[in-house]
Amino acid sequence: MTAGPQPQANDFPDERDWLSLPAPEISPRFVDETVARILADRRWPEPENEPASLPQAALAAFAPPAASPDFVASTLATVQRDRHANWRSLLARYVAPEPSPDFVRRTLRALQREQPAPVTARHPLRLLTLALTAAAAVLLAIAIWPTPRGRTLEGALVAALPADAAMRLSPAPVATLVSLTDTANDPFALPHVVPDRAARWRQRGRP
Amino acid sequence: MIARRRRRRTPLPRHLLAAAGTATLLFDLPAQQTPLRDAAAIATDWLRRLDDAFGKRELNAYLDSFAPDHRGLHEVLQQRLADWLVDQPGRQRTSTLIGELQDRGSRLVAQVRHQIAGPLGGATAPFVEQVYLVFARRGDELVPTLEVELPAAYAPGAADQPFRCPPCNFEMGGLPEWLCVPVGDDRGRALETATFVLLGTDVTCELQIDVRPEPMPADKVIHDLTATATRLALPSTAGAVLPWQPRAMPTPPAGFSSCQRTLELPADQRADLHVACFGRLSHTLLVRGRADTMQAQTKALAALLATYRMVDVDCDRMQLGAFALAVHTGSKLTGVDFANERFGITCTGPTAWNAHLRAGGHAFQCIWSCPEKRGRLYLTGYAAPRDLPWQPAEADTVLINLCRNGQVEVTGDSGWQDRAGCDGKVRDLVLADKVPGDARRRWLRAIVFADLLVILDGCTAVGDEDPLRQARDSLRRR
Repeated sequence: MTAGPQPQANDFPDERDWLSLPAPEISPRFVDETVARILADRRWPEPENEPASLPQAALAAFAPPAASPDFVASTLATVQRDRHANWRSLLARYVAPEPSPDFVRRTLRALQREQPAPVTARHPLRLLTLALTAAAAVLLAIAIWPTPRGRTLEGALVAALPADAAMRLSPAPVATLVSLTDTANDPFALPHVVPDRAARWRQRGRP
Repeated sequence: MIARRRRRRTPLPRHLLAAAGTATLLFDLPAQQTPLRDAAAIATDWLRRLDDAFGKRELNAYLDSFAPDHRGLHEVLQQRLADWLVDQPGRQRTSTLIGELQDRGSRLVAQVRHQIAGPLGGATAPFVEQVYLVFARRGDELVPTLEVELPAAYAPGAADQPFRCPPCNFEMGGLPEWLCVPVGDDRGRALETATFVLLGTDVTCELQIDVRPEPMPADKVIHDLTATATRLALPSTAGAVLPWQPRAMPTPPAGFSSCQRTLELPADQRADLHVACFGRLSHTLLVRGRADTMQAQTKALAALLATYRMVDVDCDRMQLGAFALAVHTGSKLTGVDFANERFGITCTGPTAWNAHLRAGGHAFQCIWSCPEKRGRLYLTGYAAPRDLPWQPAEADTVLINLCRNGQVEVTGDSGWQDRAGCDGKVRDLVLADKVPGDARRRWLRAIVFADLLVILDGCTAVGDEDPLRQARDSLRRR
């Protein structure tokens, strides 16, 4: 009996055996020929009748224009304006998150821990009464609780308009949608809204 | 005002009232319909009761008289009334029926003229407005379900006549179940705006005709509108942009493009946007309502959309916008030279700048823009009705609101001045953007006439002020 597996006669030589083989003789011309071959591969034919580089006048056409005097200031202002608009947009879309079920569960558990433990076991009839009362309360709450109705399109668009705009009371909110789209597409514009005729009349009547 | 009123009210009575109203409306029988002669007397009685609530400033009593068909339009009524009733007391309203009641199947439609009198102050005449008041039959009685404002000087056509404007190249409607409510220029902010109400439901179709600065494909317009709606957090989802071929135009002309997109809105609402563009004109149709109602009214909606068509498809489409603007506002543009024949205004913009006319509900508006996008110049005219002429103090209010809403500060002010060769009073303001570090120069000139307020405002880069100054000084009125 032997301790390990015995090598077999037909085993292929492993890497160590290959590396232990003596290196072949390198001919004296090997290095020179290799370098010459590499240099020959890198060479490409020169185009005929073509100047070595483009004329300066042509290159000058691609030179970047000189910066205007207010370039930095106006760029900063644009960046600031974009930041304002983005923040306003983000804040307008912010909706306070609902408490997660896990949060509610943990809160209820903590509140229960603060309450004194029941001294006596409840009677089954009392538990039934409690359950029925709770069910009745839930049904009553469902019946009279105001259902969340969401904003109407009119209400949502009115909120986005200046208070003096006649468009605020338009029976066609599509007008507001188009107007706000135009404003977004023209950052230079002041909001030239048409003032409400009735508001002007009321203003005139004030002492 | 709307929010305050919501908090005060107990929801249970509202639910019970709504349930009772709905139940009575559901159990109406055709045999019990009120004859029109009696209906006119009942409607007149309703006008008296509503005027009474107005005079006593009882907003809740006024609104609770309605069994609203359309919650959004009822909110607009609520806001419009609140603007009147929270103001100073002592105003009385007198309403009269104009013409006969229109029998439109499940609803009766009355055109009503409200005349509001009270402390006139500087006003020279009572305020007059027109509305459509819609009634539902409830046994022998009528119940108001909708009040929606009309343009001040509106003369309605027959119920079966389509709403049409040849210069704007469209017509639509003419179906008795759809009430066409034209919207005034000031409220519509376009060449033409109208809301079609499917009577007895909360489904509406709004039509708006606008002029773009340059021809634009319909899908670009619909993308921009969706982006605005998304920025306002309106749609929960927006569907894909789909092709839309108006049924009345089986072979669209060259250069015509149209498409549609569905937006899912909060509270189970749905909106279907349809846009058609031809030349610089764009026609936007917004169909909306509760998703289930729209589903149930598919046939009625298809019937209305099938009436939409362009009047002339063989016209020169590049001239379409200019022609519509000339007819509606009296403005025309020759190169950079602006002229408005209705008010006799002329102004020459900076040479080599691009210029275009807009229709924003104003008397006129012209915009010149620098090709290198370094500056712009806006010329805007605000017309005044004859009985409510402009005064410098009112023009001040407009200027203050313009600066406040535009987030600019006034850094220089000439005050109102008389200028040689100008009948109006002139005021020059130097403005600065509230954004720190903005090096643009912005200024504004206001000229107030009795019938017209003209505001010329420009902004440009430092060193480029001369062309704008020359344009400002070229403003004339015949």
